Amino acid sequence: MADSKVTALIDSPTLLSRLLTTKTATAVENLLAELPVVPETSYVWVDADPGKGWHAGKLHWVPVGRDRGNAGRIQLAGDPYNPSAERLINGMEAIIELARRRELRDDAAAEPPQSPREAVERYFGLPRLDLIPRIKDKDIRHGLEERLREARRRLLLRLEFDKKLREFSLEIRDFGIGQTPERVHNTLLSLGRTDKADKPYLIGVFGQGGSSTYAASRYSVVISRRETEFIDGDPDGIGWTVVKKIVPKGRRDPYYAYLAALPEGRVPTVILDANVATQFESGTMFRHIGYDFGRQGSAVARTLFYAMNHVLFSPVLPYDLYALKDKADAMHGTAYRLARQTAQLEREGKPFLDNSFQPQSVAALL
Amino acid sequence: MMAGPVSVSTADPADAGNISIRVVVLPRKLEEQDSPSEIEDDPIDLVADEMLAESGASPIASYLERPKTGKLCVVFLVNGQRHDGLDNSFIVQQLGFKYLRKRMMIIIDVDGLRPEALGELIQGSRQGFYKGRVWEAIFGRVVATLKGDPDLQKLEEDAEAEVAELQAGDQKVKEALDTLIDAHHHYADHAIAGKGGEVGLEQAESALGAATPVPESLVSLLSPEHGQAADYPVLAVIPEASSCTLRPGIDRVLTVTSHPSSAWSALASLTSTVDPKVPELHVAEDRAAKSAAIRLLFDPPKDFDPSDYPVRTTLRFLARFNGQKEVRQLAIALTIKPHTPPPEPELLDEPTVLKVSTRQPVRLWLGSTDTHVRVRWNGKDDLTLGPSPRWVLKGGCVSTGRTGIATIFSQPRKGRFSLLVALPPDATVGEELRFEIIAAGPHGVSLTAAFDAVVSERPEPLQPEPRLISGFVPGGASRRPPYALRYITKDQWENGTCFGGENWGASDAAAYQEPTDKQPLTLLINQDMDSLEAFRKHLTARKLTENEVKSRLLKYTSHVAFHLYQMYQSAQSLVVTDDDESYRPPTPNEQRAEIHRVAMTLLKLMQVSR
Repeated sequence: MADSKVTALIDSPTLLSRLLTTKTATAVENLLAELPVVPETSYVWVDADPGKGWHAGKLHWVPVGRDRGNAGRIQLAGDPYNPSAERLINGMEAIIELARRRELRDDAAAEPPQSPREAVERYFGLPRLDLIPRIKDKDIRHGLEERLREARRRLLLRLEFDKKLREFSLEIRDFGIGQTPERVHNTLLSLGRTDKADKPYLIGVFGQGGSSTYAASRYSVVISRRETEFIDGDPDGIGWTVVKKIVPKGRRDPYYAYLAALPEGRVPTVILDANVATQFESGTMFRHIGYDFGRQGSAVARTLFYAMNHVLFSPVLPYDLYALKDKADAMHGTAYRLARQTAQLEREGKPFLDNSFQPQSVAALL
Repeated sequence: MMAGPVSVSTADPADAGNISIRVVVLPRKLEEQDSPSEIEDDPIDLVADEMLAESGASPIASYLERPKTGKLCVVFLVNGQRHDGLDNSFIVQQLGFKYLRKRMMIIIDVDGLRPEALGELIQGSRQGFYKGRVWEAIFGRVVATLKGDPDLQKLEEDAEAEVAELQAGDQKVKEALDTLIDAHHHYADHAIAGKGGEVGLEQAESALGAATPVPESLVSLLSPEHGQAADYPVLAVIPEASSCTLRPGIDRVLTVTSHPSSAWSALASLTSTVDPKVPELHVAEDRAAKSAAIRLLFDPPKDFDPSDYPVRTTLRFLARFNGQKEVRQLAIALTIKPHTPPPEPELLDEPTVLKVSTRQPVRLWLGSTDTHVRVRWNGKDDLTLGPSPRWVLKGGCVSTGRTGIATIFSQPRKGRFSLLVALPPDATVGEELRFEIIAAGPHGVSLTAAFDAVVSERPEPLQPEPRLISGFVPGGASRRPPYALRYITKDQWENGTCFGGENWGASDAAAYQEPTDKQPLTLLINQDMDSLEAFRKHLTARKLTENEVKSRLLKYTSHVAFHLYQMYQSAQSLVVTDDDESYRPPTPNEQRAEIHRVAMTLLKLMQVSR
């Protein structure tokens, strides 16, 4: 395989199309076979000297978080739903962060919101979602419901199923701030590193929750593009990679690795041109391929609706769920659904109880 | 006692921060009365763009993680994400709301905890909180807030009553049978007075010769302050209550049983009386292996004067158990009145009234459960909603020198809400306190209400026990069972015990033998009747559970036996006294044909019923 041809494929705009349409493990393997990938048996990443054995111009499998012992930190999920919820939370944060950066652009001295909910109220005009159905003024309620619909379109969860191969793919796509290719390995593909702890308006703290999705998938395709006005001096482009589990022969310590273009861990890039720019708007897409739901068929779609509403019981932002269909289900969390039901029961004069208590203090010696 | 400024929850050095609690109880679905396992449990809020539900067994099924298997009806949220959850055993065991467990969701938002407390709780796996001191403190707060909630307690009581009414659904088959038996009596050559279908206890009483009241001691389940100690068994009612409200035209089913339940098999007789008499009140009994379902229906005539409500009376059950000298009594006070929902309150954007509706002095109970003090105002409910509400509620103890009393409010609903008071450990019984509640609105407008309270210790409820009391019971002091029940199998068909001393055949359903000095009236049921055998096979083919099959066979047997009993009574009353042929007792062949007809009707009806 000629290096020039390979390099052309890595940077080619057609690669992005391929990545965006790759939804089965076989398709991923076919794509990998066309790429200049150094097999994991030929290159083993070493923390002290990652450049050792590196083949310039080729892609190498580098441990997620650049931690050879990452399996213990990735395989933390007990079911298929919590990891997806973590990915959605990351997406919500990316959306909030984009709004915060825009606020700072307009007013560099703007105080940060003190909680994710305050951020959502400030930037998207949305109160806690389960309050909306309880608002009696129709005009106000309808206005907020319209805002909900707009907000939902910024974050998508898409479930697809290949009937022939009997494989699920689960895609989480946010239209948030995204990352430049230069930063993907230090943010989206890091473990336990976070710049969120000093931002009270963000949610996650541990910096690794979403990575459990890798453990539930055979492959994960990751694509990210930074919102152009916030590239902060980095070159514009679309970073991408593929994540998989590697089980070294004769060893009991598997690890999760992604395709890196440079020894320090940087991911490959699709150079932006007019064609590419329209194919992928700023934000991030994680597509988890061969996702293990434990069972098959349309029942997974139904379960996903209830499970995600329950795990993200009262999400700070809503999202759309495309579960084996082209029409989206509005995902506002079970707290919202309950509030909507009790509001309807009240209108119908049926007996029910929906009682909230003021915040109350908890006494515990810390 | 001097009054000082309002002191809202004082800071505690061990304060881990705040939590918020929301509790939702949905109405029981009507479908649940039928076949829970077969209901398509679509949420009531289903809209066109929403996924259809999987089938579920409870009103909250479609709000759980998995409708069929999810049990996390108590959730703990951090930034809206569920980090932990509990199943409904928490609702039953910790809160004591057994009958709400399938309709209740509790949402605990812990965002307000201090970062150190959250740091102790949250695990990297997101698979649950760390079950340490912070968890225990939260757990305790949730229990303290909800356990004494009067709204939940009221719903639990209503749900308990609904559970009793659920059994009325099972009565449908029996009602049809009753109607059939009634009709049969009209066509059969009988002269028994009254309604054959309603197993009239008072008629049974009369038939048992129990019409004459004789002073006698009674044993009843009462608190120890009444009468003298006595022994079990006693009569008990499910749901447990000493009073009961009936709605005109609506069935209410009470289950009368014995305590211990194993004593029911020794029940010799069970009678009931309504005192004072209420002609419009119908009492029907359906006896089962371990209890009797008592169906109460107040059926007023069209011209019943509404001003006569409420109608009050007492329903008394008297039972004799084999081997027990004293009669067992169960008394239930009945109040009959139509349901009149309270008028919708007129609620304003600018409220003008705020008042405490709990009777004063409010008793604040020592212990780990908060006291809910009822408050009303005439402001719209959503005035206090949202992050920047137009009106803010504040409340606290204003007694000089008293600190450490934490208070919170529940969200107003239709103008009603509660102030929850959590007493500190140093509160003492008899301590008198004054509280003030302020509703602060825009432009400095505010409303104030105050109440006096006294710290009290919740008295240990006196557990009821069997007590011997004086009273009057009808009938004699001892009585043997009115009949004996025997089963005939094919190998006994030749024993000449069928009507007229004949042998049995495959089409014979049952027969009776008149009482003698040595044996009571004996009711004989042919277990190997061909149609009964076919019915058994039919039940098995429908893959009914063992209990369902037993239940249906029991129903058949009890009704055939009952009819035999009535046939005997009828035959006794129709002794030939004149030449009028129409009043002669039935011949053995006529009796044989009659019980066959009854048995076949029962079997056919039960085959087509669910």
